[in-house]
Amino acid sequence: MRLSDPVALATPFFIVLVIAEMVYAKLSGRVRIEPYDTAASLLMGFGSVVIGVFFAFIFLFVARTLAPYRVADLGWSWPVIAVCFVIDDFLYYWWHRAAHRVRWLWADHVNHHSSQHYNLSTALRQSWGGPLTPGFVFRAPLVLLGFPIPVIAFVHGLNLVYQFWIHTEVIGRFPRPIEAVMNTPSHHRVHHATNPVYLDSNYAGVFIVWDRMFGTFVAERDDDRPRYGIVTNLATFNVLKIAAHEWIGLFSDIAHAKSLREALCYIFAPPGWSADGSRDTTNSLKKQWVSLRRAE
Amino acid sequence: MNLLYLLFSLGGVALMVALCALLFGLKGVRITAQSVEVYLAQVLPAFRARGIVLGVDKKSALVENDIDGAIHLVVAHGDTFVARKLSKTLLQTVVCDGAGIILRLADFTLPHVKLALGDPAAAALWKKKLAGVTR
Repeated sequence: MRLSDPVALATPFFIVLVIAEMVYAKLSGRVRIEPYDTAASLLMGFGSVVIGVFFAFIFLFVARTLAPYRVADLGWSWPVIAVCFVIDDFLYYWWHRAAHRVRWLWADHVNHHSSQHYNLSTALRQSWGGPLTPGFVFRAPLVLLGFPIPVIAFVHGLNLVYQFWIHTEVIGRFPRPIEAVMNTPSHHRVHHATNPVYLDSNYAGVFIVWDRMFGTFVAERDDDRPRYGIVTNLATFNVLKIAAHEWIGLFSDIAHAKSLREALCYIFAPPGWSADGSRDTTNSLKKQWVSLRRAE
Repeated sequence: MNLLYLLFSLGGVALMVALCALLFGLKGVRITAQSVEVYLAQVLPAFRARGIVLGVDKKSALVENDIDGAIHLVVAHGDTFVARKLSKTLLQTVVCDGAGIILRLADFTLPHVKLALGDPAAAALWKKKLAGVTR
């Protein structure tokens, strides 16, 4: 069996849908699209693909190193691919959750969240720092369970393709049974929102059930429309600055750390942690918001 | 991956951006006192505007929050805004530049902002207010 690259196959559809969304936005006025922002997102996507090609060997090296230690040889079949898809999505949930809660991983993932817009081009705003993070660790269990490496790459590609179309404001909500199980545009809008009530929620890739199971699910509210971006939004459309800003902040903090413990906290603590407590984490922002709203 | 494939992809990106610019224009937002108030009321847990000064180019503004006395810098960014609460660690220097002020910030994506106020007295007043932040 030969498995194609789902992302490569889907790319023409990505382009057509991005253009269709632009035309819809122009005609309806219901979707916000900004040309500089779109340019930055598309260039981030382009750069991410190029970097991904050059550094794919890291995943291959780790996978081939681990493969001899697999507990089974599951072979190639459609049921195996289906099971691999579900487990990959489960592992994706944990990687994604860690990417929001560990600054080292956030330094990479923040690129994807750096747009104040939410449209299909935002889906393509992918990070450039993947090779600097241990993302492959989260997929290593698939190798150890005995899934063939091409199957792992295939289902991961499918997962990425699924996540493309949910980056839109064009689609409202689906019927309840679908919203209960699947990650949808509504759920993912919440994930990209900076409204305090929405911070650090809905990490799912394909199945929203992981968020429901592990207590990170938040439903979109009609009275609190999502505001997109990051807590401190970037004042640039320069893709090099977008790609580097959090890495520079991280390395600067490590360089100025007064002890090894401080340095480790800057690397592994949640984004916003600081030695003197002068910055805000998402937890402290939520607390401030709640206490100030109560005081009003 | 060959060079031709890369160039073709970049060309595709350029065409999509050109189409986007054609559809939506490249003008960007202009700041008004009302739009800044609405924006800050959305992004801050508690906000009531006390004083607002707009740059004559309508690309930046300084806003005082009556609730906590903080001063916020708001700059136009594409079709939306970016805001910074000015603090001692963020705001490095404030310099009067005739009828305007120049803010230097410890911010990788917003290292400096020039607010042309068109009024030397207003520039001096806001420089004095901002001196309270850097002190």
